[in-house]
Amino acid sequence: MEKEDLKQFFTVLINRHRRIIYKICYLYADNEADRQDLYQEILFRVWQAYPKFRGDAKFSTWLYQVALNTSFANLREHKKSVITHTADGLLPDTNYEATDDTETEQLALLHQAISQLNEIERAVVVLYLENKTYDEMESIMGIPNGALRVKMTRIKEKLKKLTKTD
Amino acid sequence: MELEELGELLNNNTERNIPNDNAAIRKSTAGPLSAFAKKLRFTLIAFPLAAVLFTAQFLDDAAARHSPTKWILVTVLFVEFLLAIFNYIIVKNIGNTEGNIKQNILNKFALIKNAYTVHLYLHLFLYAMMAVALELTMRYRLDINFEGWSTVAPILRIAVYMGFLIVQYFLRRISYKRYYGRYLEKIQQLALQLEY
Repeated sequence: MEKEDLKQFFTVLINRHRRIIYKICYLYADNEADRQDLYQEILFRVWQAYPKFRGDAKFSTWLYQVALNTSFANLREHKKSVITHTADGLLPDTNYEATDDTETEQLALLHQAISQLNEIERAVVVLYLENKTYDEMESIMGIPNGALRVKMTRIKEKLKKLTKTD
Repeated sequence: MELEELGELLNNNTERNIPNDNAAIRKSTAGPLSAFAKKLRFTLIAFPLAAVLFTAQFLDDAAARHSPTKWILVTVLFVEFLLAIFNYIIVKNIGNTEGNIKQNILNKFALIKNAYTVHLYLHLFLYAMMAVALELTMRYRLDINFEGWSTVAPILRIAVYMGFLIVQYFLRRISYKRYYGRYLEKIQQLALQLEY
């Protein structure tokens, strides 16, 4: 395939799966500016790695691996790597359009809960919420099926507790 | 709130706020790894430049060609150049996104750890060899520039060499930690998170 064709094909493919990248950025970056930076970083790494994608796994599975590996290696200077909150518990610098106050509150709660999870747990959550099977999660994470189930149970309990007390 | 409810909230917000622009494929990014790789690429140019300068001097000056000190300097520069390439490869590998998450983390952990050991001990060995070469140069009077140094008491010379080796060992440790420490720390954290 010619480079231009490859680029076009890649762009179409990425546009179809942008949601995956953005969701990961949402979970791993603190604010909108960081999210955009991480989005570009992931896109850059995906494009670099794309020629090596042999198609023996689903594109989305491969994309999750590349995007998560990029997020883990992406240590930006002078910025905190955990999600921070303002004094009122809301998220700083988010351009997120919440439809009403209840949703804003729920969003803050969601972020607060997610920020309590470690990075690996966040990755497991994002895959679980994408309705990935445990087998797919195993191939992305490299963690055995059984261990993932145990992790997921723990995460659910943790989140339940966190959202209840808040 | 149940996890599924959180998921729905996350999905709705991602859908609503996803950027509308087309995927812009760039040649590089402003990420710290890319910036570090750029810095290393610059240091890689330094050796060929120094090599050109030395070659010019060697061609012009026969005495320089036979000076062990000059050859020691060329050797040091060459080893530093090799280490710069080695650093560049490490940085490229830290940015590696292939493989499943666990394997990727474990590979990077092993890579940075091993590179740390190689860096420290290779430098230590190299500078120890330089001290030996310097002593041999003085012993066989190969370079008159060291006549003064050869008059210093051997015990004092050894103490200076030892002091230099210790100082450079700690400086290397600090510099390695400055460049790779945070990556190693982060990877260690992730490896722990994988276990529990």
